[in-house]
Amino acid sequence: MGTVKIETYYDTQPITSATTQNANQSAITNSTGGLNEDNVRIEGIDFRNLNTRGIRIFATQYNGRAIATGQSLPTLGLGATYYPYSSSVSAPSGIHPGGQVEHAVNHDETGVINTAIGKGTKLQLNGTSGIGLQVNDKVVVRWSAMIYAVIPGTQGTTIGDLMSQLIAPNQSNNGSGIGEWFWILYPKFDTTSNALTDTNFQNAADAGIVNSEIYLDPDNDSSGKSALSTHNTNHMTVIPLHLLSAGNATGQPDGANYADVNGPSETAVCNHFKVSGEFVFTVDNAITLYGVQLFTSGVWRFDFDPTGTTTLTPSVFLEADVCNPAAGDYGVDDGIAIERAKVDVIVYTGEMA
Amino acid sequence: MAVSFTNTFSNGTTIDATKLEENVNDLRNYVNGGISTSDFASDFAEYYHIMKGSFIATPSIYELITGPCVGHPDIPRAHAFSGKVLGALNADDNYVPGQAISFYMEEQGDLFLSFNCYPRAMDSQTGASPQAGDFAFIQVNLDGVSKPSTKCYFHAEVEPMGIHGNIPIWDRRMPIHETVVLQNVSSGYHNIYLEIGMSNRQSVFKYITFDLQGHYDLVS
Repeated sequence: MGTVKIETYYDTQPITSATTQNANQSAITNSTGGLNEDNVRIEGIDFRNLNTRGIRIFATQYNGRAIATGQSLPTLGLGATYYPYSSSVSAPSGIHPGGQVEHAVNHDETGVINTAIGKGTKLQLNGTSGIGLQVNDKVVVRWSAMIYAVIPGTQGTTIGDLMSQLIAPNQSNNGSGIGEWFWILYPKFDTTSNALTDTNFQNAADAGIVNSEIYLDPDNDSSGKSALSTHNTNHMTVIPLHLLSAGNATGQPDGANYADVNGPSETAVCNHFKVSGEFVFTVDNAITLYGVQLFTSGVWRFDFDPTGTTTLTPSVFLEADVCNPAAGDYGVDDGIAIERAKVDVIVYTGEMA
Repeated sequence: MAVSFTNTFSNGTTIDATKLEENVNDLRNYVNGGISTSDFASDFAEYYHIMKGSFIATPSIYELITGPCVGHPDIPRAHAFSGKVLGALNADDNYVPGQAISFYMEEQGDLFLSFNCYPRAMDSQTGASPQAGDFAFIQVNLDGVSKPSTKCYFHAEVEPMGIHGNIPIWDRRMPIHETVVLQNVSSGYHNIYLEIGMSNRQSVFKYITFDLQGHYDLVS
């Protein structure tokens, strides 16, 4: 009965049409099972989430890799080790090798690489159907990961190896040194198919969900520098690699990895540490979102304005060099080991139904 | 059963006022107590029409609370208060005082929880060697089941290192933020709380914000 249409009686007619009367009666009669949500008003209820599409979907994906503290990296699992773009490490089989601009965070509960749906951080939304995002929907992605260890690179660890020369503009092999290197962790989105192939995961703009946004993305930026003035970084978490040690027994400053399975020491900040992040955006285009997955990339570092000016408009770039101070190179090739990791997605409606 | 009218009318004949009134009465009687279950569509009056589709449990914010005290229930030297919870080392069932919420769900739904804290883990006070590996953790527990994806580690406040003796540990007072989505939590009573474990004797938690939101399933 939600929408019964009553025909109009015309007062100017001397005789009311029986057809009109019968039609009106039939319109009301055909109400079996017809009382529906149109007959219920929501006035007086002003909480937005009470409407039919307040929250469209909750979804979460946890890789399940949780072990005790202080374990060796082989125990953690080869698939949980991620080597950087600047590294040439490719063995043993089963690691995330160097030379790649980014890696899907896809080690499973046993610590091995697993690209299956529902493993690692590959989150499928609403089964194989995906969720049809509508314009103005709000997408909230939250994630966290336990950084189990910083995998030492091949560079030296004393201050002379890790502090660069003065920062020079437009020189990719210069930088501030200890403290500036980092990895990043970020979600990517698959709007291509429910197969959730790793190569189909893209940033929110390239996936066609949002318009006119430029996200820092190794896929697009590995060949050059990305100015922070033009590239969004609100979709990613920074994973720090080093701090400058206060000194050991001989008073020699040193570089300290941020995480080490052996715990705090003169060259290690802590055992393990958790990073988390949150990315919220408004949908610009109606499109089906099939899945979300975390990716990680490193080693990133800062540099001055890629245009070569001396103004303070820093950029970041993906490190391609390994530290060799004698040759004027001050890069690093530290990897990271990730233990547990998860990603959550909540889609809120942007419009009242 | 749907409303049924007593009379129908034929074109070309005068509509009898009495019969029309009977039909009007039929409609009146239907509205006035004649509506039956079969008249309702399956999607009539969902939960979200008549009850809160979302609830926000009481936000719990504490400036200063104590954590577990394992071993000697002594008073931490840097803070003038003692531990309130005794528990085994590394046990997962040491709940953080004041951070438990009991809630009732009318229907199955999804929960979203987040917390922030600035833990201050005290040192072992042994003064011997660096306490590498001394740590504590905090994580979420729902109905007695730990949620390992939410586990966050933090370390002792003071470590003996460097040529000048004890210096603050590297990541002291590092903030922790964690979230968890708990899907398809069943109807009925539930308890959710923060729990801690540690490899040292005592720990202190400060500035904990604990926020729980729940949302009933909107799609049947």
